[in-house]
Parts: sequence; structure tokens; C-alpha cells
Amino acid sequence: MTAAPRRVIPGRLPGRDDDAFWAYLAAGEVRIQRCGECGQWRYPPSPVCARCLSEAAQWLPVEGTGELLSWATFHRRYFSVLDPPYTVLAVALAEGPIMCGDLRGPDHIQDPAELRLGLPMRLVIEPAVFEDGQECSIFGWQVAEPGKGGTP
Amino acid sequence: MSLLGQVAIAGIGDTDYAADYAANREKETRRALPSESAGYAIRALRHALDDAGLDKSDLDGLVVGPTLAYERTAELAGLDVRWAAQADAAHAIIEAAAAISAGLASCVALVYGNNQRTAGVQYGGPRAASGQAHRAYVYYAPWGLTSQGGLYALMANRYFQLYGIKPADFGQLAVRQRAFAAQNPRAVRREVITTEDYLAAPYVVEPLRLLDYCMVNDGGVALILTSAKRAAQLAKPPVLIDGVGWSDLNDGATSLAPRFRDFYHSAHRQAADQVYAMAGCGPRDIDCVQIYDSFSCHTLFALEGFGYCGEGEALSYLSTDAAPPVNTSGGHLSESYMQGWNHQVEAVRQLRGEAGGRQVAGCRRVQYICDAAGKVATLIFSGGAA
Repeated sequence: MTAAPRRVIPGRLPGRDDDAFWAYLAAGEVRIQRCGECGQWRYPPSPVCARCLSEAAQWLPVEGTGELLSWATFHRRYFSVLDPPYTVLAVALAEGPIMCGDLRGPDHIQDPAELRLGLPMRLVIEPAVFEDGQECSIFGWQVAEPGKGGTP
Repeated sequence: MSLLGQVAIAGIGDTDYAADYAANREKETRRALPSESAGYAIRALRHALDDAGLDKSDLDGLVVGPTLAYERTAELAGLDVRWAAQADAAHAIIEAAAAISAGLASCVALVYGNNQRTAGVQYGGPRAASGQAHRAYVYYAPWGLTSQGGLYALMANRYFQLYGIKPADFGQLAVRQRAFAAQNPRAVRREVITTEDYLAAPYVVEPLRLLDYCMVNDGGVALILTSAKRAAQLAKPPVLIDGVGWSDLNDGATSLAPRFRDFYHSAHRQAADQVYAMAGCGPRDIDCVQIYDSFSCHTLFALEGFGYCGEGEALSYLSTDAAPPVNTSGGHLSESYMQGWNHQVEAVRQLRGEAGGRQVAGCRRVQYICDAAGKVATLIFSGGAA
């Protein structure tokens, strides 16, 4: 049996905290940091809590649900490996931080015309490969309950 | 402390944006273009010194814009100064005014130059300019989200959804600015556009279209600042700095939180309180507004954040007689993308009565507002020649 071809994605920024994030993702989990002192959740990954300046943190899995804050559809090509048009979203996680990602299908709606502010969204994880050939996984966002319009 | 009326802009200079753009586009060799960004800055500086009736030996301070190296620029211009800084347009004026009022310098040149068209500068993608300074421009590359334009498209769409904005109404921002540019011989884009032209323009990052984006062109700008007292002795009527405001949002910048929370209004309000208290006036006293517009939507966020109108009301407000003219040179969309510097020149031209067919009658106070990436700065200028 042959696995479906992995989607090719642009490279990410390097950094020790991001390395950990992508390692968890490759293992099939979205984990983000929670401050070991004040309990504040944070994303994108960072070396220190911006609220209390503590460097202590745990990497904890997120529920993977959130509320749609906005979206935009790229029509201009910025990356050789990504064919426009594609839609990117900003979602407020149940844990608090905002996670930007792209709109994924095909099981659920992909047409951005059906998106509404406040729509409940769900994280999905897919196998991928960075453009330099390194295998990885990436998350994207799907509408949690397709067919149900959100409240603006 | 107040800067009210202590410091003046005594000279302005810029480069011929339209001619340089055409030469660049047509790979024309008859028109000599400067070989590096500082060359544009110094060409503008020469014009500004002539405008003020000053010699470069009169200068004892220098502020260079963010695209320039200080030592290189000063070396090329043969300038040894006692005080210098590197700062963006409004911040350059605030820092120079503070230095003059503190006695650190008496006559300061503020210069900006950018060869971004010739150099093929990219504002999105893997080699996005300013990615070091603004991590969000490059951080989300694996998902295809990149560029300041992509981030403002997310803000604009949230605004569209919250307030039920129609593209044809939003398009009036670009249409109106182009109408001003048509009256500005220095503007790169001078052909009048209609609502239909706007709606036919391709999307870059939807809901923003090509006509909502600034251009990428080469050019330079220079300003000469000195004390109001000295400026009164010089060649042109002084334009006084009546007030300044500054408030930056950095917390959560890469996560985009301050963009979605309130379109940067918390910083707008702080800067507004500061500038209006210092200048002793409010939005109703302003005759003309210059707004940093890498994208058309900046205008909406700025006018609402500074109290010109209520939230979600800027488009309808702008269609009334109560609204002051905005970006009368054509701004970044149509005149030139000089990262806020050309807006200062236009403020001075309006207050001197030098704005030709786009002159705002009886212009006595001009406000500049910038909110690029949540770094909010504002200035109020006054003058009486118009």
C-alpha cells in the first residue's frame, strides 16, 4: 500500500522552542507552552512568559477547538510550493492564545464564503514535508460543525 | 513637557517619484538613478536645503530613516554632526524636535531614501523585508500566511464582517486618494479610477485588492527642522510642530492579538490623548489628515481610533462634509511609498499653500497618524500661509 503524497510546505523559522513545537506535531499532537509559575498559556513558542517573566513552562496538549477571529484568501503567489488561492485563518483557542493556520478540507467546507466570525473551528493534523525535503506534520483548521452558521 | 510651537519644519525636499518610476520601469538609461538608497536621500536633502535657504554647513544634527545606514549616509553627504539618530518618519520628527528643544542640536536634517524598486525588495514570502523586526511577517510561512498585507487583510476582513462593509464602499478610499493624486504632478499614479475600476482590480490577499496596496517605488525625502525662532528668519514660512503622540503595542505582536482585539485602538487612544492635549485642539479643528497607508484600510482604523468618528463609521463619515480631506497627495497608494515620509512633505505643502490643484482652502492645522504594525505615532502641525 502506498501512502498518499505528503503536502509540501514552506520552511519554518528555526529556534529551540519552535523545534519542540514541531517535534510534538510530528508525533501527532498540538502542544503549546503553559507557564510553570502563573499558568498563562502561550503561542507561538517562546523562551519566557510575557506575563510574569518566568522561564519555567510545561508543554501541554490543547483541546484543539477555537473560535474564528478572521480569515483572508491569498490570490498572489508568495511561495513556490503553495498554489494560490488558499485561505488562512486566525482562531482564538479555547485555552486563550490565537493560532493562525490554513483552511483545510476536503471532508468539510473549504469555501471561505461559508465562514463567519465566531464559527467554532477544530484543529486537524496532516503529514507534510518541508520544501527542503524534511518530513513533518502540520496543523490546519476545519469548521467544527459544518452546516451550522456562526454568530457574527 | 510640551513641544507646542517650539520647533518648526523649515525646509522640505523630495525626489521626482513619477520620473524615476517611469525610468525604472522602462529600463531607461537617459535618466540617472542613484546607485543606492542614500543617493535618493541626499538628492532630497539638497532640495530641502535649497527650500530652506540653508547650506549644509548649517546642519548640526541628522536623523536617518530605517532603510539607511547612518555612517554611510553622513559620509556620502559629507556631514559631521553633534547629534544623530535613526528613526521612522514621525518618530524622526519627534526625536529631532526633542533634541532641538533640549539644546542637543540646533538645525537637524531628517533624511529617507529607498531604492526598493531597483533592488527588488520583497514584502512577503521567504525573503520578506523587515522579517527580523516584525516576526509575524515571516513566522506563519508554513501555512502560507506572510507579509504585512496579509496581516492587514485579516484585520480588514474582521472589520468587513463586524460592520457589514461592502467592497464598493470600501473602494472609495482608493478612488478618493487617486483623485487627489491626479492633481499632484509628483505622484506616480495619476490616472483617475472609478468604483468599477476598483472592483475589477485583482485581489492580492482578499479582501484587499491591488488598488488597496501601496506601490513599490524608489525615492527620497528630506526635512530640515530648527527652532521656531530661527525658522521665522528663513526662506519659507515655518510650519510649527504643535503636538506629538506616541504609543506602541508589542505584547502579543506575533500572535496578532492587538490587531484583532481592537484594531490597535488602545494605542490610538493613548496617542490621541497626548497629541490633542499638547496641541490644545481636537479632531474637529484639523483641516487635513495624512495617514500612513501601506494599505487603504489604515485610514479606517486611524480615524476611528483617534476619535474622528465612532467605530465602524469611518466609511460613512468620510462621505460627509464633516470629514477633513485625507491623504491629499495620493499617499502611499498613489503618490509614493516613502514609508510615511512623503506625508510630512504633503502636510508642509498644504500649510504653506503650495499644494496646487489639491490645495485644501484655509488649511491651518494638519494631523499625521501612523499605526504600522501597532506602533502608533502622531503629529499635529500648524501654519498660516494657506
